[in-house]
Amino acid sequence: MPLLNVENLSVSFPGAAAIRGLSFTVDAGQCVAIVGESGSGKSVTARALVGLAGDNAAVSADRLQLDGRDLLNLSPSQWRSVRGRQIGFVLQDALVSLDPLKTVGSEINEALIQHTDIPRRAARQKVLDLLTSVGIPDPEQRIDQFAHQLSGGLRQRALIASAIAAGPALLIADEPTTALDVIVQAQILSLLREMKAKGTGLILISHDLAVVASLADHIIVLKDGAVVETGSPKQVFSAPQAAYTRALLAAIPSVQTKGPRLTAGMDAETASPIEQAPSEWAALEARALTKSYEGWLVVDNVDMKLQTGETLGLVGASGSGKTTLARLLLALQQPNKGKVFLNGKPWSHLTERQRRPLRPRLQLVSQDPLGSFDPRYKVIDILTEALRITDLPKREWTARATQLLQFVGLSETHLSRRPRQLSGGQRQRVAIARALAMQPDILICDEPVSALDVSTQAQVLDLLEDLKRQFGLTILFISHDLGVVHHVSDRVMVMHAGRIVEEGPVDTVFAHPRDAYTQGLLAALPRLPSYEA
Amino acid sequence: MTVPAPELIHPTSLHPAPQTVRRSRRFPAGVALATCILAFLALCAISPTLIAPQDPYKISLLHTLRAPSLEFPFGTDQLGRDIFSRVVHGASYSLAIGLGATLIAVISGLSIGLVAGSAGGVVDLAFMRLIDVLLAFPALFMSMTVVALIGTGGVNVLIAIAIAEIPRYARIVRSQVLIVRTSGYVEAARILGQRRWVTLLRHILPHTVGPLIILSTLGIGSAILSSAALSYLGLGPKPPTPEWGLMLAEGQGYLRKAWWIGVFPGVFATLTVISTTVLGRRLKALSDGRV
Repeated sequence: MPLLNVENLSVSFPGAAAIRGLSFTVDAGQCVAIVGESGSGKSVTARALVGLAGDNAAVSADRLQLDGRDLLNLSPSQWRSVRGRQIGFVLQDALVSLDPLKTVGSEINEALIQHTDIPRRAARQKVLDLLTSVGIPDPEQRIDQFAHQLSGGLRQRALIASAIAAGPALLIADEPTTALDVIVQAQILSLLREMKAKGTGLILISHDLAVVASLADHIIVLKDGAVVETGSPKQVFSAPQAAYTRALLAAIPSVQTKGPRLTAGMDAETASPIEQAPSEWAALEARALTKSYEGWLVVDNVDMKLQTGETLGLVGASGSGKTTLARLLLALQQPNKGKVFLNGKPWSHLTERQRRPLRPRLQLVSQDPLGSFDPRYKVIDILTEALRITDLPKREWTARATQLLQFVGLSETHLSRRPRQLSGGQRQRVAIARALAMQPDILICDEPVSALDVSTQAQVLDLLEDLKRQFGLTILFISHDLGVVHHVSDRVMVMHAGRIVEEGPVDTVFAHPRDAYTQGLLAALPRLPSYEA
Repeated sequence: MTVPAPELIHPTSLHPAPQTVRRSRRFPAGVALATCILAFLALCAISPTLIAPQDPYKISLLHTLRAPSLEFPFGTDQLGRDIFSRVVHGASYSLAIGLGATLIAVISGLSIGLVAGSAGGVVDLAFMRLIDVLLAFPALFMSMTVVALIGTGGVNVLIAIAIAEIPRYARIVRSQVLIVRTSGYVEAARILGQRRWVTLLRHILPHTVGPLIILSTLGIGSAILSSAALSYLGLGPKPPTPEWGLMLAEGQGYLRKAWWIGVFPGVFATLTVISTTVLGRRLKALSDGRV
């Protein structure tokens, strides 16, 4: 008998079906992965399985059994005894899921007391054992710390520890590694693998096929609430049946996909690429750049050159100082030491008034385009704000704004929209259009695609590539995603703890990393399995 | 940062408030009543003779201290003047002082808050210490001090109240500026090469106006109350001006013999303050998205 048996599960909200006709089983020691983009219904599925779909959600199924027990008609109090005791639930954001006023120990202790009849005296030892079992170092010290005192990886481990405190037979993990960098992600995945080996049934929910590839025994691909593909990893990866799965797989930028476009059927602009005259000066150069906050060195003596016409990738884990470096290069912050030069001329040591006329040369595409738009503005306002600064006459603003939208694959109809009415990918296109309005030489892209789904990400990456050729842009591309950086970059710099630890042509660095940190980073990269056809 | 936006379904999106509940509470009776009262007072202020044709200054020793009746709805005072007419004519003083003082206070507070918040550094420090000094005194005491310095009378009372009200507006504008100043879109404007004062006008100013409108609606009520208080203390308009605070003071001596002299101006002042407060709170609730 399977551990969990789901037949024909449907969840709908007033006016919209979130998930339709989903069936699968999970055996003990087996991992079922549910993969899909945002809005595909994967998180709703997870919540329905623990009775948290919401008051106005209508959940129906032909069968929903855990270990032979029917879950369909449980009362809220019965659900409470199932959650935690029989089904553990791990959410994406551990900082939100952990109570900020409780120590990690008391959080886990609470789960223990509620779901098991362990004597209180023995509970602390059990908590320590749990912390040890999820690989938290120094559990004696960590047990009395609060969530904010732990790193993202440790928090996620603590959350898993509290989810498995009562020894549930089934663990549901909803995007458990999305907020983590690759090295920590690899650690969490191996922890989940260990639990699977010990006989825990696992439902892993992710938007990232590469993440689930190494763990899943069975993969379900969701799109708009319906199953588009299901099968073993081997079937899904080597012989995907659905066109959507194929597009999803092709859209993943990785070491294997250098060069070709990620989106099929969208031809590049045939405009002839602008030839860059070789320049004596680097487009952007930093010398011995150092920045510290409260004695903490965030950027440590960084020397870098961004050559005209190239795409330079900057990779590093979260907290490595990438964003601070970008802000120093943009002269949004002043370095403690060192200088930045734009086209060989002073940049960071100008006054803001002197710098202002030069600012259009250097534009930013950030991770959070929504935050960079005034919430009162429509797309037309956002673009005309930029055009106002250029010397374009006022009567040509609308025409130019339309043209800019066309450059980024949007149309005139988007002019009257508000950013909130646009999808994540469309917002990023508007942000890129605004940057292009200034006719910049250099584009600094700080995690431009990390908030986007993989297929949207592919479109934006292709767009940047097209624009680069069309307008002869020089790009500094910052990302924690090695696959993305490898795909777009000519050269790459690896940043770790504020320092550039390795630098070189992208293929060289990826194929023969010299630095130990780079080696670790590459080894931790989740890869799509390659099956011999 | 490198953390992708969480994709979890926000709890509220799973529990949208039922539409029917919202609709029935869209315009509660209290707000309707407050609007009517203020509309009536506005009419009184604009065209008092329409509502009360009697001359508020006309002394008639034949009709002194008459109780409310059909002829004199609010009775008459010790000089035989019609209280109803005086209360209606008094609306223009109270509303003019309430609106005028609030307007001056809002404009001054807005300027101070904008300059302090966007300049930062020494300028910010200087302005905020000044505001702290103003705040250290109770508003009424502050107004009295100002009146003591610049003299009594309607316009001076207006200025005195305005000065005492400046700090609350300056502080809220400044805090709003500090939030907006560090926002992504102000930074985006800077990256585009936008001049600072243009950014201030286009992005920062509009975002401070919303909270300011709400606060000033509430402020009108307290300004009216302060003006009544100052007049009551004899620092405002001089007799025989039909000003509510002054009428209250005049009626005090006759409270046992003729309660209507003091009570009606008092009731009107109270209704005005309550109405503006109800309206202000409603605006605040609307802007917070609570209704």
